Amino acid sequence: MIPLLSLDGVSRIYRQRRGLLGRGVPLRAVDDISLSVAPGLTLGVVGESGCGKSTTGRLALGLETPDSGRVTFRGAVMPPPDGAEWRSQRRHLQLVPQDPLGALDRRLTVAAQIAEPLLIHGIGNRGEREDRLAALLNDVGLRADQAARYPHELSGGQRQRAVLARALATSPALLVCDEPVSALDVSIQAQVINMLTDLQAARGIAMIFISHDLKVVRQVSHEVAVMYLGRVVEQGDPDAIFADPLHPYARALVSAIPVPGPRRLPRIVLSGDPPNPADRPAGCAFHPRCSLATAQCRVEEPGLIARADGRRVACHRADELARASA
Amino acid sequence: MLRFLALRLVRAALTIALVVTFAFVVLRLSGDPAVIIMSPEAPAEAIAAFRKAWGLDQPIWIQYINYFGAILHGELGQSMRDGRPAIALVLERIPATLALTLPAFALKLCLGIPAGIQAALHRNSLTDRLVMAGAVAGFTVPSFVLGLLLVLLFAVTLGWLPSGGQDGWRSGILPVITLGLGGAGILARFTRSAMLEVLGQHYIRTASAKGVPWRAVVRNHALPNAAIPTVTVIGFMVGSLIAGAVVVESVFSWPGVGRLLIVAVANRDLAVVQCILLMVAGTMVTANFAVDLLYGLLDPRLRGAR
Amino acid sequence: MSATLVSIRDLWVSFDGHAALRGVDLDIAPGEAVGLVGESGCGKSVTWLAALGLLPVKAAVSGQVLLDGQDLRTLKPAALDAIRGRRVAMIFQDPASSLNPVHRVGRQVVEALRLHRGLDGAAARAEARRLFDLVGIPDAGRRLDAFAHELSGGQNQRVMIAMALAGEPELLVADEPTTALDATIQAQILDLLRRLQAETGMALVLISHDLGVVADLCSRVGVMYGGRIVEEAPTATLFAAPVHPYTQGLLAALPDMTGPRRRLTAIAGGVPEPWNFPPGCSFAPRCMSATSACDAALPAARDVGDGHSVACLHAHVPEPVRAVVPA
Repeated sequence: MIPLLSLDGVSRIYRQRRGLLGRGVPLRAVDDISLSVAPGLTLGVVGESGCGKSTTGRLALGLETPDSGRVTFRGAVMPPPDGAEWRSQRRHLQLVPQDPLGALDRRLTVAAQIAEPLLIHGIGNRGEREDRLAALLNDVGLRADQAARYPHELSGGQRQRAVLARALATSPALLVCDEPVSALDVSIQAQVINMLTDLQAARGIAMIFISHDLKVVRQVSHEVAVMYLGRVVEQGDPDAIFADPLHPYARALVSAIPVPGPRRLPRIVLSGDPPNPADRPAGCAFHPRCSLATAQCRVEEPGLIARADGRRVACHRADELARASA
Repeated sequence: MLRFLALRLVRAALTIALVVTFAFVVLRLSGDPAVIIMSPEAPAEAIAAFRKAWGLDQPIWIQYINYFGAILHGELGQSMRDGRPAIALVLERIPATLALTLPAFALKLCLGIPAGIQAALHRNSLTDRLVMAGAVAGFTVPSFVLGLLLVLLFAVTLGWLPSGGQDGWRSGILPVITLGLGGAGILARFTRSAMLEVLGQHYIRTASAKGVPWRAVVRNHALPNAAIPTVTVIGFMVGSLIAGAVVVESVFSWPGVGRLLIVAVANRDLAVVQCILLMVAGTMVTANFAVDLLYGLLDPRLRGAR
Repeated sequence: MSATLVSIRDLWVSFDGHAALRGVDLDIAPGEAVGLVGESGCGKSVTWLAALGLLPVKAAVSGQVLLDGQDLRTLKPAALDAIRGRRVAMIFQDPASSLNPVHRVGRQVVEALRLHRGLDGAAARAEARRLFDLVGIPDAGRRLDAFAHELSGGQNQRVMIAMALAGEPELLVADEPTTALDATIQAQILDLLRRLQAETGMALVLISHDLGVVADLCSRVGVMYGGRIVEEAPTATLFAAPVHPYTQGLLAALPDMTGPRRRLTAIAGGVPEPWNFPPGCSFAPRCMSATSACDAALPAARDVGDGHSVACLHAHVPEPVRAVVPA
């Protein structure tokens, strides 16, 4: 299938200043990653803070320009931010952020903000826009009287519905959801997740779903990428990866998820903190925390290599690990 | 750190140069010093001779350059009025001004900070409301109004204290109180809000949870953190030790730098005005610099950043 | 059950006239690990902040908090200070902001050692260093002189734990100790708490919104909703056979890590805010089995056997099942 959006060998480097005197230290927030999203399907991106998952989302939206590699949407290279071409493309690519209160304007009613993209992109006449607003509210399960309120008068779950309605207003082809349910209570999380999957089924929207919560990512994703320090370390079918992760970091991450009831994998507790992205270890970036690291891991960076079962793993010892777990 | 210091010094020098230029421009635009000092009825030859003697006959930009050059050489010029060095005139007034501003500064600290802390610790209590009402009154009532009210009450009606002049320590009491109350009000408000902010922080709860008695929580955990924003305000107050009493000195006929400034401005006595402005700018800049250094001492989070 | 260490009896808390806690009863036995789970505003943190007198003065608290039979709520401040950090210690959600930014972390641990163990000077520093080693802070000697902003979130939480251990407490209350941390760091901290509890024999109360975290560490769990404990049971029983409709709903709303993917069963409606609690059962407005009786009064907790109690008029109590003990 032709991907809707693809990132090919994309890197994004920030200059991080250290103090007033310090020179800029290059920080490879995203380092040579290749990912793609098919129409109507969801790519989950998981990892811990600083792994580059949010930067990946911003690159996919065209909010940032890669320093190398390219991002293509429907086969065309993403235009640079803030140009006319970029603005007209915005309607196809929308963001659902973690903090809905921060994403909404406190001084406008929720309904006004949901209708705003229709005005900006000149969609429909007045009557059509009103019909559209009503349909959007219905889609996300907000009542008209709730939409007439201001953001701070709504609960967290209702605000996230409002943000979602606004994102859907322009009928986008792709939603980038960056931790969309992390700030919500469990019982509300389930409502929003169900809504997202229902909307996807009804409208065929593709999604990039970024989260630190593996359980939620497994629930919504058709493919998943595990990131560590700006690189994808394992990628493939979520059921396979979460049931039997191969990369040692993915294993630790999956085994770290506390689950009610008996656990399938023995708990692996990593030592130490994730290193500073500006201070990337040589070789495999994970080797200082990896109990299986060899001399090769310390000097040679492993590539993301496709395996027979279709998943891709960036580990020198992947073959051994696969044999051991088989 | 060195670069930070150098940057600060350059900024200080620029600030002072701007102040000097500003004084020159404003004073020259607003009237001809020769005419004002010699009086408008003076003979034209006398005015011309005065102009020549003080270099006022030269083009204005040459006067400006001469001026600036002289300042760079440390020459602050002479008073056009009595020919004495401006610096000497100013220096002899400084003790009188400090005799007001230093006790007033002490009063601000001793009254404002404890009042602010008490108000914060007993938020919404009667103490809090009284302190805040007093503080608002303290800094909203202009000092000349407050000064006159105090004179009316303690000098005119009760006859306890002199109404003005510099005649023994008793004559200083009313001006010191006038100066101190306004500053104490500002400081009380700042201290209160800084304390309230800090008392709501999680580490205060942590300290209580580990069994630190409340008095020690306030002393060891809240005060050092609340001091950080309060220091800024105190820095401003230090900066105004020289020139902060202009109005009060006038109200109480106190022979300090402030009165000298008013007389010098009225006379377009450029050298004296300039000398005072330089000193004011100097103390302000020094006080700001000290505040910046103090921040680093008080807040370890800022040490690495510099 | 053995003797109780802490016994909370009919604890009520209200802020500005709005009830945040509506009659909480909870017993903690010496050395046991109890979990308190619930969503935001359910009162799980308020329960323990109120128990230790850590709420702001505007909170109106009533009820009893008995520690070895002595009511903490009636103690003078000095007597309460001698218990906080000494017999009952507490750690919090956001370790970075829970440490004083202007004091070195070692000094903050030493402060607790001086208060509760009478240690000073070199002896206190040596003990602080031992505690840092105990909680797994690398390069402990040097870290004593660090400030909180120089340490990572995980290390700050270790400092908080070291500080809590300084008084050798009989009970450690951990309020969302891993919520602000990344998954692999969360696993480290949970591991540390488990080890410390086993080594010191102290009791542990783990407050969390995450059922998984609680299941991992605790032998008994209380589920809170709308300012009350709605169900309490041994961990295995609670996850295998929950009887309160809210507990059932919460478990059904959680995505699984294994097995076939199913549509999540969401609980309709929103979590009630403390200023908006219904008069009767807090869960009634979202409950499928609610009747008018549910709105009339707060349902009392009733014992359904095997240390399992539930506060619901309609809870369906199944036949006893042999629960699966989590590994």
